[in-house]
Amino acid sequence: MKIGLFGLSLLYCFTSASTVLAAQIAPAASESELFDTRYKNQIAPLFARYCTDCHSSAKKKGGVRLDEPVTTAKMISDAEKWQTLLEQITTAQMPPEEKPRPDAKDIDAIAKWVRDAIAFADSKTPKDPGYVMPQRLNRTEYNNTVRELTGLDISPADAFPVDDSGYGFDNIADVLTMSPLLAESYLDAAEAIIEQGFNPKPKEDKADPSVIPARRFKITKEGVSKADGILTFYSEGVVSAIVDCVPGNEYELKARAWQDKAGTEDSKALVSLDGKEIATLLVSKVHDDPQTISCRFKATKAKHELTLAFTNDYYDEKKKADRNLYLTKVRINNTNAAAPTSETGAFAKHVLIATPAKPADERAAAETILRAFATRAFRRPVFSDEVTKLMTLYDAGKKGGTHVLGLKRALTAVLVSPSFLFRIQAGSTLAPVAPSTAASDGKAKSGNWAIDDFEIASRLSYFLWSSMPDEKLFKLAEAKSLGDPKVRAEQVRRMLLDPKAHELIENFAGQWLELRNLDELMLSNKRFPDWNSAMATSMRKEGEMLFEEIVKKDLSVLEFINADFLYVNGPLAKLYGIKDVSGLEFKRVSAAGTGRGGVLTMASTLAVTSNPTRTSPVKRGKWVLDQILGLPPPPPPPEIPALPDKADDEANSPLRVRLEKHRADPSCAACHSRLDGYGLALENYDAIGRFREKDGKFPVDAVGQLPGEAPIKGAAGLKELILKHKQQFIRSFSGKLLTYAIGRGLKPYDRPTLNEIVLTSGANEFKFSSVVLAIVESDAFLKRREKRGDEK
Amino acid sequence: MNRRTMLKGLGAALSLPLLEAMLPARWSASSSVAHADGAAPKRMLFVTQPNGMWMENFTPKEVGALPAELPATLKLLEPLRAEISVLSGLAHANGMAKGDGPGDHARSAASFLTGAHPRKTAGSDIRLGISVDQVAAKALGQNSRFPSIELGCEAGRRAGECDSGYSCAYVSNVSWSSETTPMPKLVDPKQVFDRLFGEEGVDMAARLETRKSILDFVRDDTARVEKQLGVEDRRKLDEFTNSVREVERRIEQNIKLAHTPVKLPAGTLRPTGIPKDYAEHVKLMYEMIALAFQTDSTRIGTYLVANEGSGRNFSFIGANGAHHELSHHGKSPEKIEAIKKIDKFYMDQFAGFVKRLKDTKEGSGSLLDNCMIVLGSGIGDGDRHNHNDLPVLLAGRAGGTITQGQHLKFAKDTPLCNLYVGMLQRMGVKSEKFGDSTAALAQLS
Repeated sequence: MKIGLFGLSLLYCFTSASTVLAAQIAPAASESELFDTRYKNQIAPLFARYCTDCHSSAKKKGGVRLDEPVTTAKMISDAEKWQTLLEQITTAQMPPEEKPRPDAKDIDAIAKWVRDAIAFADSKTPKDPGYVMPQRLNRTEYNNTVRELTGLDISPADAFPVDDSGYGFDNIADVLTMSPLLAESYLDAAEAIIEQGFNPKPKEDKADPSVIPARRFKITKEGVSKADGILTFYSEGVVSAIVDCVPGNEYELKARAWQDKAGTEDSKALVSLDGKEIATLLVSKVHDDPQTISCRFKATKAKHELTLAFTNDYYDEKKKADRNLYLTKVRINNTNAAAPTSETGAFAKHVLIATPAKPADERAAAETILRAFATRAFRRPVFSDEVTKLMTLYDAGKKGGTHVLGLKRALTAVLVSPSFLFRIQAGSTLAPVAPSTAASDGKAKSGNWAIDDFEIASRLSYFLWSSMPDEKLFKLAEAKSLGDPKVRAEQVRRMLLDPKAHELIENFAGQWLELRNLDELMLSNKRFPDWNSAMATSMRKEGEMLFEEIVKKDLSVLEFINADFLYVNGPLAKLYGIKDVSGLEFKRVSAAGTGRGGVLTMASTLAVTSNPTRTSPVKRGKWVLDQILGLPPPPPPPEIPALPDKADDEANSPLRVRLEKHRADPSCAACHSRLDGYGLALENYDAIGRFREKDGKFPVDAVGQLPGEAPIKGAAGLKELILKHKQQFIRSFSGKLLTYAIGRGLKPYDRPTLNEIVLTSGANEFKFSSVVLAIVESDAFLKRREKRGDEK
Repeated sequence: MNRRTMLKGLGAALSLPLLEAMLPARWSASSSVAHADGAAPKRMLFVTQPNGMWMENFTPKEVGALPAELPATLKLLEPLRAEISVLSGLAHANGMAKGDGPGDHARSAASFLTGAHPRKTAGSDIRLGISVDQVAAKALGQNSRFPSIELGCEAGRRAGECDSGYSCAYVSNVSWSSETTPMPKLVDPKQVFDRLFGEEGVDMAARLETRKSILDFVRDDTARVEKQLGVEDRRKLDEFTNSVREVERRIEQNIKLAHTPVKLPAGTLRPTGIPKDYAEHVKLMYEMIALAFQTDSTRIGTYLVANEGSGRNFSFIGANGAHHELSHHGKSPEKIEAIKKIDKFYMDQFAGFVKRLKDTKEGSGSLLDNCMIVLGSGIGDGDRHNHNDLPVLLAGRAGGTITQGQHLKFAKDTPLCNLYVGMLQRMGVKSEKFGDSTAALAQLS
């Protein structure tokens, strides 16, 4: 562990906290005002009173002295050390408890000066974009990219070895390593994808080529599940899918349908096209004897949005009778001709864009296809010598074979090429300069440089969509427009509102809020009969919906702490004690009076930070420090006695008392006073997030005490405290989002970048898009350094 | 337990011709590619278990010949005690903190087969060392269709950190082909089977030539891209080039061996996926290794039964709580009882595997006679996180070069790598030193 310069052994706990994330933003101040006037008159005397007993030339405890004048040069070279000082003073770790401590006013004065001074020093230092090595697509990105690229509905990467994660995320370039097993998987997958494109394997729901499989539908309103290939409308859910049509042709929509009977009416399925209702179909049959429903529509465009909705949900409380609608094998048949709507059709449209009329045209068609495919797959213009090599493969495959065999071979090769598998940021060196020069004297750049337009397009799309750039982004890159901040801002807004932004929620929020861990969470069923996989799903969904609302409505990221609304369905509402919500459908309700709102009091957070049979204030405290404040505590040393969780212990003394015993040991107290302080404030919520007044027979005392701070009274007090330190939260959140966006861990040199992100998003009320935009506009995102060079 | 019971419930049977012999075709008497000296090849396997063990139930009290009654964890190995040895006193100095602070779980898995000290990083610039299995694979890999196989039961954590500032790469991989390149493991027995023996109904041989031409293109293309990159970027693509080369080498090997197709033992069943039952899963992965060795598809393997620090719930054997948390027992009798159960659970599966190899005939002896199998953990006591006095068990005679049935006690802090050097030499790898070894462990034969 790194020992902070300002740390003393007793307080070793927080010296490892991320110094990158802790600086605060301040307006620029002038040099003389900072170091001559303010430091000499205001700060130095405070240091003399409270600090120099230990930190002077005489004692220099921890290698730190605070009895010297500060200059710009010194500030620049020691900014990191001042950062640590700032953290230690503002979190009441310094001066140590037994020494006299400055009052709040003086602490504020010191903190403000240090922040100003760091900001000043940073403004004098050139920004360092950092080094990101070629970033291999992770499994999610691979699947999404392949789908976008080929139009096929497949997930080949599910069979790849799992990607390791680093810094809390699974898209970190350094950790996305390569192995023979993976290379082999890439080859297998490439062959399978191309084969699937030319000869789709008949799967059950693909027997009829016009079938739109359930998973292709997007849920646009909750209340429907796509499990097992069946659209199960358990409440008034809505799904939609984009269908390919031939304009002018008439189509017949058909589906297998049945219902669960309840009440007097039969279930109604509303079919709409591009938001316009075209039919309401009655479903009267039940599961054992399903029926086929159908209606017709005329296509006016090549793509239509088909929407299916269940409009008359019904639940008989007394009889416990629930009306549900089931649809499967939804399909559209062109009644005019056999137009391709199948996978082959999609593949033809995405990949096989040229069809040779006669054998003599085959080679030219192949070249057109390969050039376009490689350009999209490589996410940049393709070099002519690359095309030449692909054509060599085509020729080899065609020889003794066919046009198709040649194509298959060359298309497969594209999907195993490093330009497809890796995101490489080479700047304009990889842009298509004259091929002769590119091939012969292509030289690597050195120093720092701006990434090119195509690389920006990829960074944006993998950040916000976990997928390749779409046509729009490609076009902008071709026109070299993505160098324009205004264009970037427009694109960011567009992309955040696109359905594909759900990937950001699943992948970023899924890891930040550990929603992904809910699936494997093993809580005691005996202790918590309400805990089951459906509950876990509901909890995950709640987290995703909160995140989604913040993204889509562009709310302040502070809403993560104190949103005044929440999403609940029946089971969650019951868990939370909220009335008037039933069924599996989610409803947005006011958080007022519920003790909820924000991530801290979400059942998912409370559950993933609990032990199988009880809450863990320690884990919850650690979660707050790690995920919310960005001040990770060091892990426990070995050979420490864990808390006994024997039933009779719980019967004999409340958890709080048992934790206190633990803290009596000074070596434990250093960290635990802090961990427990945050965690105990959440004690009103049990291990699955239910509100409680009592833990067993003991009344809950949800007050946390941090050393040197006012008591934290319950969850509300905790939220208040975090909002008081909102800069710390914003910095922590921005740091995590930046890590995810650029695929590398943050370094001390990222401090100025983070400063700027916090400053600019602060000017926009910390709106979600403003944080994203600030990240996109940072050097860390738009530039790169040639090599690592920053490692010890 | 016989093989049939092990494979019970795996689903659809694989339609394979009944064979007169269960011997691998390549060096059986009838084969045209008999082994040079007619002797069976030696195989090497490393089984890594997370979170240490309750050593009292693992280490026999007496040194020397193993007694008829073994410590409780090893109970099921009693009938096989002539085939195994317990090695105590071995250590991994590089598992220790060495100034890097906490993170003993990550360091234990990282050092277990490498003997190296991992660079502490949550992701940037991971660095460790080549592992013993990969040293062997590089030297001997050309002799079998797969240089090595890497298996496990747990894929990886889905979100959050892995251990105290160490990247998950150190926690979920034990096999490293270079200091920067972990060898990921397969956790689905079906995938292992398909990879080893080919997917159902796919003619692998027919694809090989096409694949070769594709990989030629890929290698060219990589070189072309690399030309325009800086040194550091290039290193990443070198990793890729090396992996591609390895795949090519395998394709060539497959073409060469195409005339002696793999013959699976009669009655082999094709796994259908990951069994829901954890015991079945652990067993089935062992069975995949047995099949791979038996058919001489590979001679080298690693099996990280569960990722280091695994928090698996073992309530199905009456051990309530998560494995990792229980391992921090704080001397609580309940937790120690639970840990004993978990240790025994894992050892029982291992005993079944050893028996399976013992029951498989090879030449005049058994498959086990030609194996060297290490089972151990990079942590001794899960509560202390010590990296000395590690639990290490050795099974198999490596072609008669190891005397089994003993409890060998080594001088305190003898490097575990000394054992690895001894094993590499028995495999026929010229090796004087590995990791922090000081000598080859002498007392084995």
